[in-house]
Amino acid sequence: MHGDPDAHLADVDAKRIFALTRPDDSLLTLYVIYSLLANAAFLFVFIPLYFRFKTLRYRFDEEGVSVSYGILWRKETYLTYARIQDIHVSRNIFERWLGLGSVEIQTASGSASAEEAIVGIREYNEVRNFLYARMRGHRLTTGHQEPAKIPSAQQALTGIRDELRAIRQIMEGQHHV
Amino acid sequence: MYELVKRLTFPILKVEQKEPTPLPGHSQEGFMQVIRPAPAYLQYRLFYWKMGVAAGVLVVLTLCIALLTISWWFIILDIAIILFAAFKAALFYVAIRLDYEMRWYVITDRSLLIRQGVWVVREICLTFANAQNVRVKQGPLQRIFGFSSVEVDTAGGGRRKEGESQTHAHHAVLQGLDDPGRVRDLILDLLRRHRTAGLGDPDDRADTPITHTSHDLALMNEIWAEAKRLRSVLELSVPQDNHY
Repeated sequence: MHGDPDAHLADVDAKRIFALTRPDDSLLTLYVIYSLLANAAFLFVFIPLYFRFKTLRYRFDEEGVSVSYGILWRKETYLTYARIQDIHVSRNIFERWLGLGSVEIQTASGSASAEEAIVGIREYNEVRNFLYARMRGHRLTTGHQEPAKIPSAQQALTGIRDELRAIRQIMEGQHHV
Repeated sequence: MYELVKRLTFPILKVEQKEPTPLPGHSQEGFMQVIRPAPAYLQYRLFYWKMGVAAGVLVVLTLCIALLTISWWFIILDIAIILFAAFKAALFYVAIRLDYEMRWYVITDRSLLIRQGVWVVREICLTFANAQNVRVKQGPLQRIFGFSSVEVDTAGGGRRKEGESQTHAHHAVLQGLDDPGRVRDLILDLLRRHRTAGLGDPDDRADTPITHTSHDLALMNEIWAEAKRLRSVLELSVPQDNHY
């Protein structure tokens, strides 16, 4: 093993991510825009979105991340980083105007939509990098382990061959003398 | 003309036209390849646009003439329809051009990162440890234009239309590649490094893949031959030792 196997985790500032518990306030502006697009159904769209915004909570810990919201029907999703399959960062035009982004996290379950979405955050890139650094397969080939593996195996084999050849030559020499 | 429209719309669209930064943990000397869609892909998309424009022109002309046969006063409505149709066609043209320019597929030794989209900018990342299969797809028209798409799936499904090749959850699509075979082999090669199922098994650091190249095998054969000769030399020397 070369160096600290968790060295790659230092790339992402975990403290900043752990401090992230609420979406950005401009998410409410985004929800107003969405509701305005619904025209006549403004209130029907806006009221649920307003309460979602008010109750939305994120909690990142060492093992996983949970998202919860809801007043009457409460919902909390928890997933562990190791089970993440793929991560999508999506930003539609309104989100880009407001500087927001959504991080959609997929696990190996069968749902067509994202299992967990962290919406309305400005640190979408940092969150994505944070999650990515804790995904499976990220550390497996981290660092210089993989490139070092192949030459060292070849070196070992070549060394064995050379050793054997030398032994034979010595013994052949003894035999003739 | 297109450049002008692009310059005008960029501040509104707020998209950044530069390749995505590699994911964290990627070392400078590590393997990385940035793939862009082939020009044939743009031609293909524009072909659809041309077909659409042709159909649109036919419909608009028929409608305009029909309106004119009713009354000459409808000429005002005709102009409005034609202007609207022309605007729509121009919008789609710019959208197709921008969509083509806003596509990056970044392959590193452990991950795939795709950035695409104009209205919705989407960045997908997955590790090859989690990839389940690789698929190369080509339709008849795509064959004429000479490109294919390569799709990488992760575990998990969800309802979606059969044959749909849009990027969505568990499904990453590298569209418009003129060398799909090379990209497929590259991804498969990276996939082979992982022996786990890709279903969330915790990383096992002892489980580093062992790969033997033909060079390794040749060396091993040499060692075998060498060992055989060593034994025969020893066998010859043993009776001599008894004489001493």
